[in-house]
Amino acid sequence: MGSESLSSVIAEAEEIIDGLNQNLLAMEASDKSNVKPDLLNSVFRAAHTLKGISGMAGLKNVSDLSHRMEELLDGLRMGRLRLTGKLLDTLFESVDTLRRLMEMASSGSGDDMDLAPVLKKIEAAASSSPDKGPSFAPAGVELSQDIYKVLTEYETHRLNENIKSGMGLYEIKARFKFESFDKDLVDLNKKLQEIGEIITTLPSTGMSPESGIEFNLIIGTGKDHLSIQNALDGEPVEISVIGGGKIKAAQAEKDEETPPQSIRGDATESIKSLAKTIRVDIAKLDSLLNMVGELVLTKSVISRISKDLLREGERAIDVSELQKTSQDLDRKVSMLQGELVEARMIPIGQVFERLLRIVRKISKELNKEVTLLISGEETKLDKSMVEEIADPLMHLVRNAIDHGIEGKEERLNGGKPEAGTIKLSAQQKGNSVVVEVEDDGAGVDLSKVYRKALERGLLEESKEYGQKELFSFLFLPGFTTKEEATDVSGRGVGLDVVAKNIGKLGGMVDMDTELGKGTKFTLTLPITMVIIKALIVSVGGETFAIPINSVSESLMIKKSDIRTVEKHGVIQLRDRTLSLLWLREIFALPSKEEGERIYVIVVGLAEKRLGLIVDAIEGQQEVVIKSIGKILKDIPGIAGATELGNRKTILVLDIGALIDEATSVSSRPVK
Amino acid sequence: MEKRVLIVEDSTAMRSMIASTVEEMKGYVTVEAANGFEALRIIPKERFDLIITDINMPHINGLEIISFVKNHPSFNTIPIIIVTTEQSEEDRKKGISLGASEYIIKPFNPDHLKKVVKKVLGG
Repeated sequence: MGSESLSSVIAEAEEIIDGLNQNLLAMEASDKSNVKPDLLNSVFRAAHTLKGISGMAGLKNVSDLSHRMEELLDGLRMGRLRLTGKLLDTLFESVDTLRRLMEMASSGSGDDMDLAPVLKKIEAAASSSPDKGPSFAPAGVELSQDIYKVLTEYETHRLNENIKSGMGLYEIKARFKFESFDKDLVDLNKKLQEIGEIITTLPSTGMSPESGIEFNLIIGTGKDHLSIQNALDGEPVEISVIGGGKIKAAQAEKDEETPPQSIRGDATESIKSLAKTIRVDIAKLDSLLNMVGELVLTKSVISRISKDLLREGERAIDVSELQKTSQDLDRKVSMLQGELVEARMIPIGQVFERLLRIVRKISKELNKEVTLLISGEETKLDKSMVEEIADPLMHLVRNAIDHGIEGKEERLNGGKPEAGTIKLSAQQKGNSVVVEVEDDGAGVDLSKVYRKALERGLLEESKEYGQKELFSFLFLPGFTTKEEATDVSGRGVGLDVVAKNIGKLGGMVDMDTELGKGTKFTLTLPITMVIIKALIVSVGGETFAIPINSVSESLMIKKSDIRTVEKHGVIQLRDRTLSLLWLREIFALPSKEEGERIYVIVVGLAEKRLGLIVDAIEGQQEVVIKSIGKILKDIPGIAGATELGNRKTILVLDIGALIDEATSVSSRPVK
Repeated sequence: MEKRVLIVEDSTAMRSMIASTVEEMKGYVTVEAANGFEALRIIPKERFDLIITDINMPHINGLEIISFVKNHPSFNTIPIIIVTTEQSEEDRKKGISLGASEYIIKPFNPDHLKKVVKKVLGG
């Protein structure tokens, strides 16, 4: 089995696991004694498919575990087992284990793990839930042998269950045009699912495709003939009763049956495939995007040459032609770039769904009741970005449940509903996506933050501090206001890591809190990291790029505005003190006589803000970030390199690292 | 003339593994259908020498596909191989009684699949 097959197995397994998780949550949310058969069957099918493909890929543990899950789920869908909370917990745990196994497999370390504990639980679940006894064979049903012999074991079981519960069985004959049958059948299925359960769909066709295609559907429903007819109004169908509980009433109506309607003449014919999505290996997209990056460079070169030529006046070449070509290239490349960036986008909802699982787990552990409200899950972000923000979001949600949401009693005493609420939302704003995590918990006590910061010698007692400045302490490593660490978020792990990780993605974290009301974290992320907008600045004869997402503003100040506090240069920016960093000193660049006016680029990461002193601002440009070689890898403050249109290579600043350098408590003062 | 094989399977990974195994044999071309709908659309329009189908698929399952093929005078001579799992014995038996020629158990051994394909096509 080739590596290509393995990567396609990994991609599909990931999709299946996400789907399993989502469906288990749906099962948990529904009445456990009455889970929709379709839902149970699709969960079964997911485990079934996973077993098959992982077996092919030689992932023995994944295949074993999914096999055992499949058996358990088969018991559920065939009515041999009853769904209980405990069984559901076991299924959730199995899916978590599958996810871990797949993570191991995708990092190339196989799928070796001790499965005994989870397999034991599955075994216990399989034996503890009662056996409802075998289904009985269909009796008193006028089902033609042609149909009966095509029913799978599961379909036969569903047929029996429908009879057992007194549902009427109907045969629906539908004839569709060959060109549009898939869409027509899906439409019909939707209507049928609203009134009952589709047990089987048997297709047949005449001598030629032109004669259309006929489907024989068997449905079980509590509705009578007339209601079915009304529900299928306008569909080209014949309805006949074939048995079940309502057989008498239904048969009485049979005589009044309306003649079958003619085949629908549909103007929206299409021979397009139903499948509208493709799965693309990220590596292939990366290489395509890389190509576009090169094209962007070529484009810049052409546009510079054409500008140069224009400036130098008449030449033998048709300059306007060159410029037209350049504009054309520009337009095409932008389109290609847009399409490709779009192709890498996936809805952020994929991460939100995983968080549902975390909320479920942690609120159980801490005995708190928490409702997670999700909005904007359709907002799209670059695939790699969605993956990277998963952990920071998990930290924030954990924190919200552990530190934010109060215990049940405390909430009731405070006049709040017993269940806490965490709102998770995403929204696109221009080139950024804004993700908010908001809880209605206790909020952060700023006086505690002040005391802790004082204890750690981070502030002067004599001075006044603004709210934002106090918030910024919460993002320092090891800083916590909680006296006791809990298992859930641990001591001091969290916000600094969150801020750093979001910073690495070129994003920002902001927070807002009100004592007794709750806390809100706002993450502002670029939609994609591969091609970013950057502010181009020059310092000491060198040019640097600063990701525009990290820039909050740029200022021109007077040299005399700069004060010195503990050997640090600072300026007053509205209600807060802003530390300054001279890039020239950080990168040991030749000094230049500073004029009276100085440029300050205010960059931010979480609540931390820093002013970078530069010689000049050259403008904004889209750049393609490339990683730099090993030699430069360890230099702090550099995130990568990029090329400008004039084939000049410049460095892209790592704002997170620079802020660490300037603000970390133990760091040496800036010269 | 090259043999044309239709593969009906809703798992992308499984489908491409079956297809690449079949294509490893000289003189075979594969066409893939990701679900029953696609299969129903392709079967009446193209010539096939063999259909390899999964059973457990949403909307239109493998037994329904077999019944569709075997009940039509224009394509009831196309041999069918079922790809299924060890546990689905009942469904497999039904598939054979509906007219499928052979079955393969997933996970399959590529050489075994090739052997069965050759056997069914009499080559």
